[in-house]
Amino acid sequence: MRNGKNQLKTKLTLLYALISMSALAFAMVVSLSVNAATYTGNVVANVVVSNTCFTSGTPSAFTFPSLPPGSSDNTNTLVTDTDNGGNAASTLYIAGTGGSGATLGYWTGPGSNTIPVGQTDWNAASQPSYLGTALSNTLASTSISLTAPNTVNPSTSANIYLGVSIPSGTAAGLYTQTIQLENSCSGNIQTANVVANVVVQGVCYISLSPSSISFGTLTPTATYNTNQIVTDTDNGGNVAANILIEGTGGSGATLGDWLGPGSNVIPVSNTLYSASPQSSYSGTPLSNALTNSNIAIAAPNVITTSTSANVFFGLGVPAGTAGGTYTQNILIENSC
Amino acid sequence: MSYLGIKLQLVVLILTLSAMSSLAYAQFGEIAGQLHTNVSIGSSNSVSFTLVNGGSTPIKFQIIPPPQFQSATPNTVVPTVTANPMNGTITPGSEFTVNVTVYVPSSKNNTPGTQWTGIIQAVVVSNSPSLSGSGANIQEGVAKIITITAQAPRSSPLPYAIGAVIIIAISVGYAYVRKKTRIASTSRPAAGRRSGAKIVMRGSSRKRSAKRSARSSTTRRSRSPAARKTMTRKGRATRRRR
Repeated sequence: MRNGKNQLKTKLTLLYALISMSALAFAMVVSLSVNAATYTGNVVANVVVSNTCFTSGTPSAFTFPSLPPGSSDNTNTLVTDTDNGGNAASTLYIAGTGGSGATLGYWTGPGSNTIPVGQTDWNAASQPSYLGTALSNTLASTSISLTAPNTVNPSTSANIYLGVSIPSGTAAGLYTQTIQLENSCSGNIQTANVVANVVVQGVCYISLSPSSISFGTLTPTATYNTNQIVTDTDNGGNVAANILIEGTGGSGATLGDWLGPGSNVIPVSNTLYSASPQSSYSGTPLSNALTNSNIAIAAPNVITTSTSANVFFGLGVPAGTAGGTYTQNILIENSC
Repeated sequence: MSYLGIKLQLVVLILTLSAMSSLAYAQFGEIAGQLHTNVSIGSSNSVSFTLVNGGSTPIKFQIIPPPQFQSATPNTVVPTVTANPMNGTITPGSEFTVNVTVYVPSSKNNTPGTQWTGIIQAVVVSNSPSLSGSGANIQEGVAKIITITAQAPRSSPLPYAIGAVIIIAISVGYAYVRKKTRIASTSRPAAGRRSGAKIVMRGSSRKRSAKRSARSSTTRRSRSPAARKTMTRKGRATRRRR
């Protein structure tokens, strides 16, 4: 009897728990349904993508071939201007920068030596010569256009070709110039710098005038004053030079001699030379071996692009020299 | 066209031609700097120098290697200098590189550190000598001073290779002789004993049997049945006795 009572009590308890849990679950479902219905809605986001363009110059640094003064490199050195990631069409502007004041944009070299900014030129197309528009130190439009990048082609580019001309007398050494590229689009400007280098070679030139000298007609034992001038000019070099002299022509025992009729000669050493004109037959005897005359030609520079030195010659005719026409070759060489 | 007009045109033409001739000019030059090369004695080395035409007309040139050298060291055998090319033409506004090969001969007085100084010449070649009568022609050119320093001769691998081969040959020969000697020395006492035994056994049956067996085997192999039939009685007797 007592056992039956307990079992009934247990069953009632279980039933109560089951009913309570069902009620709780129903309440939760109802609650969730009520919340969902209350908070559902839309959010609107806005963004404005502005038009812009970027600039990147490749290579960022380059070197022209080594050049002597008075020469140029063709306008064919490629620089690629790239807009990587922009979205607007742009135009390339260019200027020489670096330096300051009067030398703004110039090539800077050893010491205080410079090369004017305008000695660099640019062209939209590669040129087989030095041909283009001179660079300036103020921004100038190249009229080279870059198309607008887009999501399919996020990078666009254009080519510009550069050349350089080295003025006569420019001092030897390494010169550097900073060139600014600017892509301009709808008021936005992005810049990039590329650095150009060039080595100016040291060089000396020779140009002799006249190409022959005459001592006229002389009798044996007569002399001609050492005043027959030959001018040695270095036109456009940039290094000082020494003048070397020798008598050439003939061979063997008569090497360098004045060669006359038959086998008659006047010894090479009968020709004298001097750095200054002499009022007599005096100076250094010519030799058939190349000899340093100790006469120098100063280095030209950008202001004085041409320098020169004179060599004066005289002649003595030995006693007993056979009559006739005599000729000699005199070789003058510059060395630097 | 009037006579005056033709005359004017001729004057303009002459002026133009004279202006053109004065504008055309040759400007021969060289890139600055002395040449210096270190050359191992008995070997050669190369350097180069550059000629420049800064003018507007081509320039023909000829290279003259140093005809003589100066050296502070007496009684040396001077280097041999060759240029390549020995002549050429430089176009206007361009450069021309001349390669120079220097050979320093082996000699008692050519020691490491010996220096020679010479002059390489590049002379402008003129097609038409300007001088027609008496006087001196003036030729132009550029000169390049070259300094050559002798260095210790290069170590050639050949003597080392020959030395290595000789050493290997001696080693192999020595090893072979030694091995042979060792075999001989290890076998000599035994051989001695055997030889003693041989002396003892010289007339013994064992030696004879060895000989006999050798002979009989030969006989057996070589003699045909016909030959056996034709054997002499003595031979058979001998054979039986054996």
